[in-house]
Amino acid sequence: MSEHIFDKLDAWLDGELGEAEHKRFETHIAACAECHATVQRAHRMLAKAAALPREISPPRDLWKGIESRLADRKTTRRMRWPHALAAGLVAAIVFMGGMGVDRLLKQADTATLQMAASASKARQTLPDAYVRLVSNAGYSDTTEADMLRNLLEINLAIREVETAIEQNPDDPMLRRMLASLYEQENGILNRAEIMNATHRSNTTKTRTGI
Amino acid sequence: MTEAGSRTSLAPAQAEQDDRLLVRLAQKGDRRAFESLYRISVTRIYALCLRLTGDAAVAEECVQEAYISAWQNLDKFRGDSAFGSWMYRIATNQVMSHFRKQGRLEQHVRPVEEGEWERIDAPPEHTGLGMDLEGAIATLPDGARTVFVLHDVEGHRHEEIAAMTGMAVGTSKAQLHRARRLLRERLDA
Repeated sequence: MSEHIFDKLDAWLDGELGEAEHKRFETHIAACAECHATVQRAHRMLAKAAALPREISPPRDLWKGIESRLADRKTTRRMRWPHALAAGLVAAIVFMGGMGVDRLLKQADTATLQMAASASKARQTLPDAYVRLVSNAGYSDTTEADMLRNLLEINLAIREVETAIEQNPDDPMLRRMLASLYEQENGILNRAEIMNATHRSNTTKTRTGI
Repeated sequence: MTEAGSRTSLAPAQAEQDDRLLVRLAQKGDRRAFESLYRISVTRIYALCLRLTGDAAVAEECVQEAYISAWQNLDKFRGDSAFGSWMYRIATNQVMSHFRKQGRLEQHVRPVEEGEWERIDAPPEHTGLGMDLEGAIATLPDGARTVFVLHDVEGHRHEEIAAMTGMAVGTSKAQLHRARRLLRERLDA
């Protein structure tokens, strides 16, 4: 390959040559077998580079080395998981009782499922707003953490049941489970919305001295 | 709590939702939530560090330092981007910081003078026939390897690379040219 063309190869590959130079380059490689082969090899190399795996597992678990060096965060109020899970379960049961899940468990027809799913999914289109709804509700640290963990567990369960329904779309038990999970999620978020409104109202009253 | 294994099949909105919940919990001091964030993102971060450094031991060190730095700075994460993208920037900074500490910054950002490349680009002794692309990338000089990985593997533009590494856009272009030339030579050897 001539040195002149060789120097232009990368600029040509990246589309950075001017129109006249670009044309000159392509005319040359069309006529020169050696340069054409070099360009082909360069293309192959770049295609391989772009296709390299973006994820590689470390040869050993690095978490222990990280965890041992994590300092306590200033705002830390560490919770024991059994307590958090127990609180979550109680919260879920309370919400299930109050949100008409009995009706859903009996029916769980397609329209009801779709309605519950769309209410739930609508909130998920704004992930940050979804989390802020809970974070700005004025809950104590412990309660907020419980709510967030609940949502996380419910999200995971929803995905698992949705996957199962893809395999067995007519299974009534799965559909009832999904309806229940949507209701639980909506219950937590509805409650956070009410808390948010109350919290905002209280804050305004405090500021204005009412 | 969600684990890395289920992530590949997740819709982006669902993955982002989980990330937001986990980040908020981690910001409140929950190490289990942070561990979940680590497990969700570590394969991506390790691949980046491994390719940027070309050395598994150094990559492991950079990964660990990056997550410790992320934990210390979690309050600064405002959710403008995904947690993985935020971690990616921290990891890139960590590798650049490692290069600087090792006194490799000079070679990393200084425009190389005419004729100098032939001396510093001489292939290491262990390179040779049959080298695959990953192996050949690992043998590149730091500056050339960094730009090649960020541009041709990761798909960043030169302007982004300049912002990430602190090198000038012109230096980034020159290093890419150098990296590709060296790789072509080493792969064709």
